[in-house]
Parts: sequence; C-alpha cells; structure tokens
Amino acid sequence: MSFHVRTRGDFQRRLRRWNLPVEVQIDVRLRLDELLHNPAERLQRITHPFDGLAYIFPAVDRSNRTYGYVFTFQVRYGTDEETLWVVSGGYERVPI
Amino acid sequence: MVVQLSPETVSVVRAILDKPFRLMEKRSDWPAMATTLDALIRANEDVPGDVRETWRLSGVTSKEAAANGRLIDRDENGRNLAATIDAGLAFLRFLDGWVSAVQSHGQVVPSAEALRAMIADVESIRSEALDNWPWTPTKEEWEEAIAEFERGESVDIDDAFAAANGLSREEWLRLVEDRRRALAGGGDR
Repeated sequence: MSFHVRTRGDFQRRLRRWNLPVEVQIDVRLRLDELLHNPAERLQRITHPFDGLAYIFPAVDRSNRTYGYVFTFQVRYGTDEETLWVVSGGYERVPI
Repeated sequence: MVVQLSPETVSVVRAILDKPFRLMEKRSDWPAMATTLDALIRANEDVPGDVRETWRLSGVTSKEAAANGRLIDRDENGRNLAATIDAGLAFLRFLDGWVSAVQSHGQVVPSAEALRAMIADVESIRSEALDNWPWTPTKEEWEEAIAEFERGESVDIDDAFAAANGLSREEWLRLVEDRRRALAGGGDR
C-alpha cells in the first residue's frame, strides 16, 4: 500500500545532479512511503523561515560502506491529504 | 607554525606571515622565502586531514540527530563546515601564491607539489561535502513551490526517479518492489 507522492518538475534534474547510486535512491523512495505510517512521529515541524514539515533520515550506501547519507526533505500534505508533496530536498554525504 | 582551522585564525596568520614575506620579497631574498615556505607547508600537511575530520564530526552530529528525531540547524552546520573548509583552502592558496612567486625567481620549494595536491584534496572534500547540502529553502522559494503544487504543476515522484535513471516507470517500480520485499524478508537496511 502506498500513497501518492508528487514533486516539482525540476526534481528529475536534481536527482541526476545528486549522482547517487540507484540503491540509495530506491531506499529514499521507500522512506518516503514510510510517511504513510505514523507521519507525526517521523516529521519535524519547521517554523522558520516558513511553516512546514521536514523529513530527515539517515541512509547507507550498501555498495560503499565508507560513506553514509543524511537526507532532508521539506514536505507538505496535499489538500486531499492522500498526496505528499515533496517540495525540496538535499543530503549530507558523511564519511564514516 | 601549525595553523588551526578557523576563519579568524587563518586571517590573522595570513596577516602575520604576509609582512615578513613582503620584506623578503623587497630584499629579493628568495632562498630564505623558499626555505620558510617549505617548512610551513610541511608543518601543515595535515590540513586536508583536519578538514576531513571536521566534515566527519559534522556528519556524526547530523546522523545522530536524524536517528533520534532531534531537530538541528542544518543551515548553521553547513555554514560552519563551509567556513572551516574555506579557511583551510584560503591558507593553502595563500602559501601557493608565494610558492609561485618564489618559483618564478628560480627557487625550488620541495613540497610545492604536495601543497598543490593538498589544495586539490580540500577542494574535492568541499565539493563532496557541500554540493548537495540540504539548505532550507527561503520563504519565497517555499511559497513559489507551494503555488506550483496548488496549480497542479507537479510530477509523480516515481516518474521522476525512473526518468533520472533512464528507466521506464515499470522497471523502476519493479526495483522498488524487489527492495521492499527484501527488506520485509529481513534484508540489510
């Protein structure tokens, strides 16, 4: 079971620029689906510079264990409450 | 002289070093400057290592916060990390500028190549650490994005992932489903 996750038109370009292994991208996609369950426990409220929600989670690169990632996505629920809008995002690449 | 990496320290050190260097330049005492520069480069050969350690520690803080659901100011962390890396780069480039001047007068600085490798290393760390940093959008960027969503100008995220990876939507979804099943079966996270 999943819900609709939508993003901005330039997200595809951003993903290309991120140049992440596909395995990491798949894990990111699955993490977004996890927001279906207990979103209140997973999302953090941002009050500045706008009123929004942040989804922050660590991820590993299974093909290269010398680095990890911490992703941050600014998200909002759509007006139908069945759609998650991924407004922006980025990641920290972290040496282990 | 071993330099501590902070913008303030590097600025002071550059100011302190600049005076004797200018004096040696005025006296055309290039051999003395070459010797001094070589000693400075060797004393600071750990700059890339120190920069990498700062990056690692910043990451440890971020990972722990993410794992514990603790909100930290990632923008401030990013600015601090950038400032430390840039301080290291500024110092190394300052030395490199004088090394070039000394070399143009026929002097040899034995550690010159090592210095250039250090600069390339720190530039690479900067790119790796900060190119995709998750800076918080400005209020204006956020509002512009929300307006786009409200006008229906958005794309399905699976279409975006598939296209970014040169896959059909079906191929992408199959990969996601395979991974979902592997995780459900106790696969490695």
